[in-house]
Amino acid sequence: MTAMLFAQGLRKQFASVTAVDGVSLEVHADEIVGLLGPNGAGKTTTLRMLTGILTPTAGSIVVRGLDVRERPLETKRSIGFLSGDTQLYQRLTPREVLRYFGRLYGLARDFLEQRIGTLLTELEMTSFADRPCRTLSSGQKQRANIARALLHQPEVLMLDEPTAALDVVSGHFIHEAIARERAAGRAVLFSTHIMSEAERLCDRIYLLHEGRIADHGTLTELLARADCDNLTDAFLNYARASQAAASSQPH
Amino acid sequence: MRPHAVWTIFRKEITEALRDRLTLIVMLGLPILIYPLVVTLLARIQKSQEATEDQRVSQVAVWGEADSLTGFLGRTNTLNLEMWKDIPEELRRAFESGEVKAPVPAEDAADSELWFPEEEPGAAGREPKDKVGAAARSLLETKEADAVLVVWPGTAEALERSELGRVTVYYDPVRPASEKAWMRLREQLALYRSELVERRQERFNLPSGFAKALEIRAQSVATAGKMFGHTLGRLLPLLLIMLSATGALYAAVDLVAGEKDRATMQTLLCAPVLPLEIVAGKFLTVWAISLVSALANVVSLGFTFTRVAASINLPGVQFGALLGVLGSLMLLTCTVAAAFIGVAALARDAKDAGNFLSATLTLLIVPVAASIMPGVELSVWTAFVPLVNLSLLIKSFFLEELTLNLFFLTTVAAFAYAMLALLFASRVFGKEEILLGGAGTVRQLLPGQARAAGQPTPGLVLGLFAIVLVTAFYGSLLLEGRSMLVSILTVQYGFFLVPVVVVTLLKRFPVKTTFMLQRPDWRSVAGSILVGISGGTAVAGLTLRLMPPPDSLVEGLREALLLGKEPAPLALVLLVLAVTPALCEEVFFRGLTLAGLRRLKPWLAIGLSALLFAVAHASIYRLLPTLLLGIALGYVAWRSGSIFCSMIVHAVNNGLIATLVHTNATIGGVSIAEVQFVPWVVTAGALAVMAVGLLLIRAPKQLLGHPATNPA
Repeated sequence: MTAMLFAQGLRKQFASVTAVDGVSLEVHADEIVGLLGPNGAGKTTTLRMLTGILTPTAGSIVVRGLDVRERPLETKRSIGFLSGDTQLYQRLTPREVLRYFGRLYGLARDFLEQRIGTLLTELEMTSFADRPCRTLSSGQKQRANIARALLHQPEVLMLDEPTAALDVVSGHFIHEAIARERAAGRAVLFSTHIMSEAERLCDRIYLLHEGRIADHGTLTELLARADCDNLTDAFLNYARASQAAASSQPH
Repeated sequence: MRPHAVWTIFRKEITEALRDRLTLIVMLGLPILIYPLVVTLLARIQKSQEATEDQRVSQVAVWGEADSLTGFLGRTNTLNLEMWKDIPEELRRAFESGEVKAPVPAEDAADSELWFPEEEPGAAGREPKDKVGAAARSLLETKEADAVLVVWPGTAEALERSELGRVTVYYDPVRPASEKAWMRLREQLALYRSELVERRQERFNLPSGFAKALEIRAQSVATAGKMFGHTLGRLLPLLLIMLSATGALYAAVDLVAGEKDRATMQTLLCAPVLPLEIVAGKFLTVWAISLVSALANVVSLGFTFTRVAASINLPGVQFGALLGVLGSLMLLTCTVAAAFIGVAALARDAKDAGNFLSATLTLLIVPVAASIMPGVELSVWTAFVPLVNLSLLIKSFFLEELTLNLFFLTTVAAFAYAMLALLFASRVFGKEEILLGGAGTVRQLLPGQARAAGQPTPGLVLGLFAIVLVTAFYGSLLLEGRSMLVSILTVQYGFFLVPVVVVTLLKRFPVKTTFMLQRPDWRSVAGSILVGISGGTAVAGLTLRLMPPPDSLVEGLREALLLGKEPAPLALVLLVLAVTPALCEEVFFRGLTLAGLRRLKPWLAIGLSALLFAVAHASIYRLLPTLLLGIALGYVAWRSGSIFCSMIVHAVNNGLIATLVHTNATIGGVSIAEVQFVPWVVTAGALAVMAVGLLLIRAPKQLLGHPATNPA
């Protein structure tokens, strides 16, 4: 099966800090792949490189067969990105935000209006579609953000901790939306530090620790290798092992 | 860069900005209200103050006695004299005993009609050191008197004996009532003096005018409008620039740092848009807001001085001046908006950006404030000082004093600075780490590691041109005292060739493809020679009628073509004026500049490089001829794929003109130097030869790096 998203040997250096070091991963259609790690593990930097926002110091990224560095605009059209900390334009309404991004993605006017209508219904946004974004609740804003990420019907969805700062109900709504996208044949890369969320949603998981892939596989494979009952324990085992290895290195 | 992406971003930004009340208030509210309010209020306050002072009788304390004088002054009903009012007892005794002495007048005051110590240079603002002065000051501070008239001991007797009497008026110029009292006293004392002199002339049978000897009058030639313009010109540029820039400041904070704050910048960067398109969209928004603010300022100003000012008897402002001011503000706001966008992007968040931009605004305003000082005027020196030049241009519009060439130089310089500011903004937006929320450092903006076999970019060549333009301009001004030979060689090699060599070495550009170092075929060489022979005549024939150069420019060019007032040897002239520009200017304009613009469409690259070539000649009268020549040179280089062809055209063109002037050749019996217009028939002939030359030049079959075969 051809990977919709393929990354090889990604490295990102900020001055003297190496945020990501040799990350390789792939995501196929019809699957949700989790990118798990604690704060500062390099999840956001990896996703930013994969979406083309950041240029990798080394490594290559291919989206639907196109190299991100060589064809940045075409690959961006295939990607939908959503982040947990992203706000909206305060003085625009959700409908106006969607129109704005639709135009940037080059969608035809009629198709855009039809697509906006469909998304507003599917994501239950009609009641607040024409209110300024500053008046919306966190859950409503995140629905508008999802609509924005799905607007151009991307083949690859990248979600950076999308449920952060959301209540249980809103979080559940987002989970359902993500599952629907997998069912629709999209490749979903989903970063989170909430292990239970990954256990429930992800088909495969990459464990990221200090900028490197510590392990990857299905949930069953990871738990078996770590000899644990849940992802939290498995991850803590990796973290301890990594720390022990680091302290045994001669200075 | 795709216009539709820029337009989409611009439209969204302007929609959002216009929904912000603070932006609207800063952009429209302030300018609309401030001018009528300030002018009306100031004028009314001044008028009512004047009316109050006119009605009020001035209270004058008189210390000392001279009956004839006080009697004369007492006849007017605007002065109320109170003898010995509030004089300290000790001082009065000193007056009566004659111990108090009048101060000795300065030497240069001897010839003035009236001697008033306070009016002498250096005396203004000086505290009186003598007891009389100190006592008068104390009295004036109590406001019990508006002025103190001191009649020095011996004055009454001196007046009786037809000798010199002395009086001093102490007053407080800061207090309007005291200033008014002084004006009334001055008028009355002058009348008294006049009568006294008349009486003395009669008494000694002297002819009328004996004592006066010479009447001196000064008559100002400035019209009321010019005087008003002078006041406006000094104050308004600062106000206009500050208000226009303030509109841009708030918008830049919101559009750039605000987007970082809300983490919407990364969403935008995920969309299929280039950072350059984002910066262009945002720049256009900030510029548009700033422009609307500038327009509101100018309209409000125009309204104030056509309606409001007329109602209070102030002269109006010319419509043309207002248009000129608006044009100047367009350029100024372009520079400021680009600088603000770049600086705001360097900030970590909106609060940071507010601080950064306030500091930037202060830095920009300080030189502008200096330009309101008297004596600081638009000149060839100030025309290239950023922002100050535009402030002085606005001042010149109000003063109705502006030469076409100074206007051109200022505009060119302003464009150059606007271009540099835009390049700065686009460089900041090219740094992804800065855009994603980090604070930028100057180090990040410095040129990075040179990539092997890279190509020059439009940004690089435009930035280099702006820097070279300014340095070459000031450099040539500094070289004014030197010989023509030294000046030309320094400008050509120092300001055109050296920067190109340095940049090429630093950036490691491939020399052969960048500079089109390709051996041309014989047809192209022959074509280039024909274009070189005919180009100058054809261009002169077409353009001189449109804008005839002034005599001073013709004489200056003639002197340059002879390398001085006396002709230099022809071989040297050809080396300096034909070979040198053909090498230095071609390497700069058809070499590096054209290479940097290659990624644009060919006609745009040739046109833009020709425009830069024309602007570099720093004269509005030479703009059109050099633009047309630049287009021809660019076309020849592009068509032939060889810089040697444009070098041939340039060398032959310059060499021919220099030889004709040097040998004092004649056309139809008229010396070449005195020919005003090229006859039409000669122009047509030159155009025909030029066309043949251009047709002879042929495209290369396959040249590495040639724009026609390798557009990227």
